[in-house]
Amino acid sequence: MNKPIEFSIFVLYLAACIGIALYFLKKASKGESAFWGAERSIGSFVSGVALFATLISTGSFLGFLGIAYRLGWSLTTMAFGTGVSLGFILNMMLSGGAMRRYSELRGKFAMSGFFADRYNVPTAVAATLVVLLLYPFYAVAELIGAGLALQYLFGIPFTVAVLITGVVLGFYVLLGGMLSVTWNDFMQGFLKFGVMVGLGILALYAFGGVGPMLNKARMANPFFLTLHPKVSPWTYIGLSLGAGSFVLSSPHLVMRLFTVKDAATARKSLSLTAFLIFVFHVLGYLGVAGAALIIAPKLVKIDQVLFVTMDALFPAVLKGLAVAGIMAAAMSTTSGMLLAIGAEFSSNIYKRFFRPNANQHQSLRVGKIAILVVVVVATLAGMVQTLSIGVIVALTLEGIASSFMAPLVVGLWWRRANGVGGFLGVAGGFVSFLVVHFLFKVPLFAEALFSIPISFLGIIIGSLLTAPPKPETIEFLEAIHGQKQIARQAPAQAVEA
Amino acid sequence: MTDFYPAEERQHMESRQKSYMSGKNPGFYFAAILIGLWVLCWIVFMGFFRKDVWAGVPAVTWSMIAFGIVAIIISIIAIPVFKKFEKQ
Repeated sequence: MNKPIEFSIFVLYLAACIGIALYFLKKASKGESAFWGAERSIGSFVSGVALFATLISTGSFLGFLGIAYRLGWSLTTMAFGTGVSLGFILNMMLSGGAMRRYSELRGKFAMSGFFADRYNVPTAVAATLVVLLLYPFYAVAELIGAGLALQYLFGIPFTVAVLITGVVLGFYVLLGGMLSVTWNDFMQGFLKFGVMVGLGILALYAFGGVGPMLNKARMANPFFLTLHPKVSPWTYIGLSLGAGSFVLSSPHLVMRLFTVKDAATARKSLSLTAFLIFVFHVLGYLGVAGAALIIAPKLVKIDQVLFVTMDALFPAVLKGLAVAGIMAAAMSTTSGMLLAIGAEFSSNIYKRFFRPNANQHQSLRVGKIAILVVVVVATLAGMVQTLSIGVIVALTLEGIASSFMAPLVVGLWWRRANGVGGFLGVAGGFVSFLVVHFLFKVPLFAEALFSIPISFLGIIIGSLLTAPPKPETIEFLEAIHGQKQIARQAPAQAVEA
Repeated sequence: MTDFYPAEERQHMESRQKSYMSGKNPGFYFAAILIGLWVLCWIVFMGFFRKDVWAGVPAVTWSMIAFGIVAIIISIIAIPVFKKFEKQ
């Protein structure tokens, strides 16, 4: 082992992840509310940092940083960073509080449960199938990212590195559920924010301040700050729309809002997350990608931008923390998605089609088995290393945004939306995304500019041409907006809902 | 568009709608302001001032950074506004 200090810190980080899971083992085994919903005990600060950690995957930590290096800081900052910040703020304004109330009123922990109650069962099943289809690919991408990082930094064989990541990840998700995942994310959020923003500020300082550093960076890449001539304007707009819509409606992020104390806490945490995301992309990317252009102007593997910058600027202890940060990037997003997969499968497939009278423990066990299966399959697929991280992350992000954003927002704010419209919104958005991506030549990241409007049109046209929703659906909608009191349903009763 | 609701129920539902799914809801009007500003920034700066550069950075990037700061400030302002609205 040629980097003992870095490796020791990395091992300490893994031990902390497992320690947190063991600490919450007893609490998480109490039932569905504890495992999927963290007993609705999370405060706004912890939730805000955890939401930040959930979003920042290796895609953001390595992939988009590489894109900033190659295609310019403007693309990643103005399109992705600002788009994601706006997404969290719109989530706060349009859906966060209402979805938090929904979860408590109906005792449910999966976003597709909302689609079942607001629209109909086919809409919910379609949403679950989209999650089951897309999220495992995202998990594979994250495991590949973690494997590449460990291989580059410690010389560990790639397959062993992926295996270590998969085992630790599966362990802490299955043992501690949402409590473990949230508190792990809280720790990982600090690591990620500290590494990227700290390294960015250090880089600006090391190269003589903002002006001198950017002048040197622009000598290596004249388009580092400007719009890149080879990138279509539609790519900037499409990425911004897709990223913002993903954040507004992705089930693994919406599910996090079910864990907080109340609707007001959900809103505060979303505002904090937007702030962290904004600083991370504006300041962190500027310093780290700019420094990489000075340190290694001819870098071919652009996913290694963070590695070369930290290798040059960080002392050994901070490098160890940075490695932990990269692992955190892979683990936090994947853990959130694994929980979403488990909750969606147990509530919308197992309970609905196989065992409608399942009790909490049976349903929880099936959810955990689903998580285990996905962890094993993703780890094995990750070890083969045949897929590109950037392509998978971008596809998942846009596919989720195309399928869920319009049905969620319209379902919450338009009384007239009905089951037919909801189904057309989910299915139309997803299918049109696939069609545009695979059959048409559109600019990079611009698929969402077509598929999201099609999803909106599907809901509006489908709803207006068919019968309106029942009065009890309207009452339910008023209740989740805090307008009307209705009886709450305990998790066990939610099976009949 | 077919009118599926009986007149009496329709009137009742419309009166309820005004209170929570309209411009009176802070979530609705803050979101409308933010989306409007976001679209406006893209149209104006990407459409008409794409080649303008200030201090080496494109005008559209500056506009998005400024928009991000404004959006975060609005989200902080909205927290007590939501609280007041929900107390009513």
